[in-house]
Amino acid sequence: MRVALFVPCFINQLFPDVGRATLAVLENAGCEVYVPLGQTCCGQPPFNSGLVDEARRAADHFAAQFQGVDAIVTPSGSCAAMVRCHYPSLPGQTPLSVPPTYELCQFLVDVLNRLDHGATLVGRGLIHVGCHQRNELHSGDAPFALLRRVSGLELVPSLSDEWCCGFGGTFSVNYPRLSVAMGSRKLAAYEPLDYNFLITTDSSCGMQLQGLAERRNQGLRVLHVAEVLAGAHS
Amino acid sequence: MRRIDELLQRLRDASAALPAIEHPGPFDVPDERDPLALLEERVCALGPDGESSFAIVEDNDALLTRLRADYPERLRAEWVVGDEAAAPMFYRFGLTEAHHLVARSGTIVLDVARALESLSSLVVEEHVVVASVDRVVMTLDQLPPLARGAKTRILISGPSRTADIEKTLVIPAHGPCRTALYLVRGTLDFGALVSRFFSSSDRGAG
Amino acid sequence: MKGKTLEHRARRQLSQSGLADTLYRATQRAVDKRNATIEDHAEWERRRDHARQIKLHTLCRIDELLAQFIERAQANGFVVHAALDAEEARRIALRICRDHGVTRVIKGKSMVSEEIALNPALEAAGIEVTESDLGELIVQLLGQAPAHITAPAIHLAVEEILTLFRERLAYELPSELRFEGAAIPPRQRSAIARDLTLAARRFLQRRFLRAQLGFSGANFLIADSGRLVLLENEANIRLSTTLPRVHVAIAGFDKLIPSHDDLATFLHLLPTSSTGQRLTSYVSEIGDGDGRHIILLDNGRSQLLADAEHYDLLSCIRCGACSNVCPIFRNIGGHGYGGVYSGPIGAALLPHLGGIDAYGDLPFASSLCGACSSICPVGIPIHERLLEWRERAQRARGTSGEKLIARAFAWLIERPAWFAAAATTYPLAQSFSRLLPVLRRWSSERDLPEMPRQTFLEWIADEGRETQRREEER
Repeated sequence: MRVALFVPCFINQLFPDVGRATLAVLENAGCEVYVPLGQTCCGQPPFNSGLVDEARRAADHFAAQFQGVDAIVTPSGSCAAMVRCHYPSLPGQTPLSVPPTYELCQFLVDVLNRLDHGATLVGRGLIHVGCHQRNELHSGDAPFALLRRVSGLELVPSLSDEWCCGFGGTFSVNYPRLSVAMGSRKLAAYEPLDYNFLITTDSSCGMQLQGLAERRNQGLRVLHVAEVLAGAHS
Repeated sequence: MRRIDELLQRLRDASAALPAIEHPGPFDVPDERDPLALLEERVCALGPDGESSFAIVEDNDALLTRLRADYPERLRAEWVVGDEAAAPMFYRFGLTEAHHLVARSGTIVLDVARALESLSSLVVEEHVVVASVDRVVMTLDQLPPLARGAKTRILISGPSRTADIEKTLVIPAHGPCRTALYLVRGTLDFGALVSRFFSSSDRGAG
Repeated sequence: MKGKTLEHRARRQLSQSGLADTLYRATQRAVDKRNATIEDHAEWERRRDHARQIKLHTLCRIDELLAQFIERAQANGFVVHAALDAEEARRIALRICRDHGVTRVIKGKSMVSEEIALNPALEAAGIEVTESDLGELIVQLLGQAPAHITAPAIHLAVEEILTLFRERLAYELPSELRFEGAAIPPRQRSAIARDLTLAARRFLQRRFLRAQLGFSGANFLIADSGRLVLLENEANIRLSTTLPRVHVAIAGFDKLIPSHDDLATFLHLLPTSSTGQRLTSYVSEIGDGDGRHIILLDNGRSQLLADAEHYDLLSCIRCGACSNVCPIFRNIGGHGYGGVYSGPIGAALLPHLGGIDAYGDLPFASSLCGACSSICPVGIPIHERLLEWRERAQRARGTSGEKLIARAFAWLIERPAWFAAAATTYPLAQSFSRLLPVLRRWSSERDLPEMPRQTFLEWIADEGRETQRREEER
């Protein structure tokens, strides 16, 4: 299967290991992976601010970059939801044509139907599935299906598993008090638990939670689910 | 009337451009469970501390015997029966005939001509309900239309409750503290039950 | 004090110690119960779709169906009134009170009566008004507005209610429940909550008996039977609508459903979404209309109906589930929204009903997590409505700094080399984060991640073969 890897702009910039891990997981699963070097941003920041014309320009650029593949795969539920759920509603003269786009876990489970990636990670892990993965892609179970097959990994449930981390893109800087309050509540529920790391499907959520935890010296090692799945091969 | 017409005109104008959406038709709920067993489970679950009880008896005679045994104070205590409309607040007991029962939600259905006639289920400490087992339906979807002559329907699912203070469940709020449901196999004769249950010739037994 | 913007109100609400703790505890409990009940409800998703279709069908034929409702309700003996706005609704209510010489009113819980500010109007006319729902009574005695669509006193701790009842209802704690210190020991909380509830019961019993008129809202109006439907747990609504001689129900026309056969679907969805119950303790489907009035309210709804993109907001059945899962609501509570309706549905509705000037910022105060849309029992994509409000707000605004930035950002997106070059300024920006407002708002309470040596795309380009090989194969 010929897939294009879309590495969201902030992952490219701040978390390149997540991009490398995603590439490794996809290749290990037998995909032929193509990485367009002209890719930039899916357009979610202007879209969430209500600036749909600017978002459409981003979408047009995105569509031009990602042609001629069977699927586009990205290690972010939020960016995948932008393409899958919101591109169709963007204004514009011509309809947008984009190959089917999936978040990594969703792709591995729903398209490849491949749950075991031979990964090993010894320890107790909290899981944070990004809200757009659950509420827009309706694929909140996929990360669990994959992580349950990682050897050595024990999943630690938290009361706050389904709570938003408070990131919300521009929301995090437009309403910092609310954003911080939301993230703090989520972290507070982790405190009494016995865990070694937090596994997330979205690096943006990870950035929010880690940024908060570091400021208050609450140890929190954040791993992206791609890094966990690539674990045995790196 | 002028205002009503004005409102309707506004709505006609406002909805003119909306997409036409068909009514989806009836909702079908396949459920293989035994309605009577489920009713018992659900009625009892509504009063986890004994606020709800459930019993099935064979016939009208057995029902009378059972009620006499369970309510030996029947002639001394204050009762309000069926559609008596006088209403001091509160009676000790109310005795009501349910027209239907809904298994899934543990619901007692009363059809009355006026809401005031449902007082025997409202201004009482303990609500005693009798009905025939053939009046049990699985879900609310299967409830028949209101009984002939009835204009109001009251659904009762468990005792009066509130959780407005720190989500602490408190029973009762304003209505009955307890609901006791008695089902009879075969046809229930509520009129005869009432007159025999309260018959003064039985006073000695009370 | 009413803050002008959500930002102001949020700051005030967040600074109230214990408020968010109380809200998180109460809402999480409601959500957990809802989820547990749904597990037994195999057809839940199908039921949601069904309900949405019934509601949208009703709205597109609302004029015919409402006319049918009015005709049948009148045939049942109800006196039906229409009020185009809040002022008219208050006038009608006052006229009914005057016509019957009413001086004492008992009320069942009604959000629409809050919307039209009924209580102050009745009180100004010298009428005693008593809220009979326990939560509503508590907020009424405190002089507050309800803090949640279905759980008005959700923001209060037992201690606060105890103090209130001591002051206003001459309540005395029974000796066996007395405790030392300011905080009630955990073991005694539920016993005291219970005793307070019974005290309210005793207080309200007298009010039920002496009220000459009962006031209520309506959860549903049934077109083909001309009946109105009320859901509750306490039996206070049954008492309020049964004991007094006169009953007045007020409802928005959006409460309409076509047929008696449709009611079951909504009875399944509403209580489960609200509290996790399979059904509320009481449902009254009232069709004996003698001595009863119905006031049908517009108050901005018909304007929303004409909005083909947003009219489905009128299908809301006011279960409050979206508030229960909303992380914003859980932190600021209903009073943070500054209007009658709160939570995500309030943020989408208030700009329609109360105007964009007063409530235009609500749709922006959301992380767009979408939990509201996932839980909504009638399938309203609430967070998408918030997104559309943002779009509308931007269209209405002239050129702004934000728009210029977005335009520059879009320009960069279309130029990968420039986009990459712009990103290299991050370490610089990071070291000056105190000077840049955007970064300052992030970094005042959160660390920023470190910049890695190489971006992912730089690595891919350096490795070359990864992409190149595939480019050649194409």
